[in-house]
Amino acid sequence: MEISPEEFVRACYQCGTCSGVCPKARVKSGFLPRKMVYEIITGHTDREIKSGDSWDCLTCGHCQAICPMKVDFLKMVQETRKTGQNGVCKIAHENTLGFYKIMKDSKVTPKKTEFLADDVKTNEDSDVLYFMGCTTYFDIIFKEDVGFEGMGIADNTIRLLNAVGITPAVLDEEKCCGHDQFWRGQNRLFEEFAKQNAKFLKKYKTIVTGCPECYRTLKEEYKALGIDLDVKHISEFLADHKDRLKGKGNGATVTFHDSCRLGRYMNIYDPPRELLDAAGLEIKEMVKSRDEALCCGVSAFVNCDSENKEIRKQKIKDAIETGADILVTPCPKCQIHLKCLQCDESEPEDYNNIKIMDLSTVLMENLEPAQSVDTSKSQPDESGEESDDNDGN
Amino acid sequence: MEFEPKAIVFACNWCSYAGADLAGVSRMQYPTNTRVIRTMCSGRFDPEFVFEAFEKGIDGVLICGCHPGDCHYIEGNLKAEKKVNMTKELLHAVGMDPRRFRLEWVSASEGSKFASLIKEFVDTLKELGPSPLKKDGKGGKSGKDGGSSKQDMDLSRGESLEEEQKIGGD
Repeated sequence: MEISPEEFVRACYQCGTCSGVCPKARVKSGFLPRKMVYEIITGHTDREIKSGDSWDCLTCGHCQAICPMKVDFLKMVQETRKTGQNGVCKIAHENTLGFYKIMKDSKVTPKKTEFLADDVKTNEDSDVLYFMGCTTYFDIIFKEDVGFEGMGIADNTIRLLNAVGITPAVLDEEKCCGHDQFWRGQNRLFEEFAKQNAKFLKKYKTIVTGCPECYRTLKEEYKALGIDLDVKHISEFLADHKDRLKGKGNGATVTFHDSCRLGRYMNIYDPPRELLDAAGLEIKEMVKSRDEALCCGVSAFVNCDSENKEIRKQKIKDAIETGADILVTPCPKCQIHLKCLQCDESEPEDYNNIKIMDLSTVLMENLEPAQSVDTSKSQPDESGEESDDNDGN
Repeated sequence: MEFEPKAIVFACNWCSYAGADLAGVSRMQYPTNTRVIRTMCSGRFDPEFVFEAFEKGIDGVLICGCHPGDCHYIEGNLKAEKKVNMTKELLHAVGMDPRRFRLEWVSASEGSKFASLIKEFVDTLKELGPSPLKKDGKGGKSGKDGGSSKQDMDLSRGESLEEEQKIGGD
């Protein structure tokens, strides 16, 4: 083994708190984060890779959040996957997701802007870039079968930006951020995407993403490659401009799902809630919320099986128990995974008592621009950056 | 020299492969730019086939199956149609010309249709020029002059496999 992940895990004193909180350990017997760490510390990385445990991990980050010794579980899992790639891993929808094989080539330019709705306003010269991510592709793959509203997410995110007086740039040449490739341990492919994206991302002052996975990847993983960007999640960005929006007063009860990439990875808990509150929606928290939020069940489509389904069932049950009308999720992938369960006709129980919607769609339906938008230039803004953006329009 | 495209045809065992056979037995003339791969049903088609073929530098992919209603497995061809439509959209979204990928119904008695179909498909590919993903680097940019050498005609798999391992195939 050339790469030894043990460096990040030495501090472990085998208390087992991680195994106690791990949602996967609850549904799969024999899967214990503590055991994974033990195998690696004692030098049995090979055995650990062969057992396939690191592929069963959801990378939800629960263990890392609670670990008293701050063991870097996520880095350990990523490094192990990188070392043992092509190992014991099954990727759901792998064949359909093979379009990455074409996308990775720098000679083809994706077409993304033509899938946008007609009423969204974009401007190539803007300082703000909206990074669409994979919504276009997932829209094509999952719309018919699970009712995933991919392009709705992209359209509504741009509409929200328009509502606060910002016309973002949207680019055709943008490739996938490489999140899934990174977490599957395909670092070369990930770096290839990063290299191609970095060429144009650096031209923009602020990058707004509607997807927590893109957000995390562009902000942290790209930084590790030496690509420093100012990235903001749409909720973070809009929370800064909350005064330019007002609720329509539709009124509904919602419950918010803290996706792992936005919550535990990036510590964004309040901005989405502030926005939902500003939209006049009543938030009912699930039994487990914020940094204790339950994972949606799969990440990067790795090893999706019946055990992961149990986690998803629990998640939707928790959401239904709150009595809310809508389960708001900030992450498109969480929406795919959860809607997939709702569409499953072989399930004896009914999980359709709650509507699953994306954060941007819910916000767009319940917010409208306040009167002051036209005069936004004269409005004093706490951050000079955004007012510059308005001048650009 | 004129650009000679390379294309793969996936033909279903019960109709299209027999149709292709009929074209051959009846000595119909059609371009030699295609390689036929027999599948038990057009429903065997998987989006991966197309992505992998394009990644390795093929210029076009054609799927042939029984006419709707004639499928040996009742509805395999309809399933293929659904998958093909999705794959076409995906190809368009990632930036490949969807005209490089087609689905056609060819029955066992339609030898002449198969011959004319191949001719028409190869003509379209010649018009489009080499695939932008062609390995020799001539693809896309130089239009009509790319990739017709002898080396190019044998599907050099070794090179691509090496590349795949480097990237870390999924």
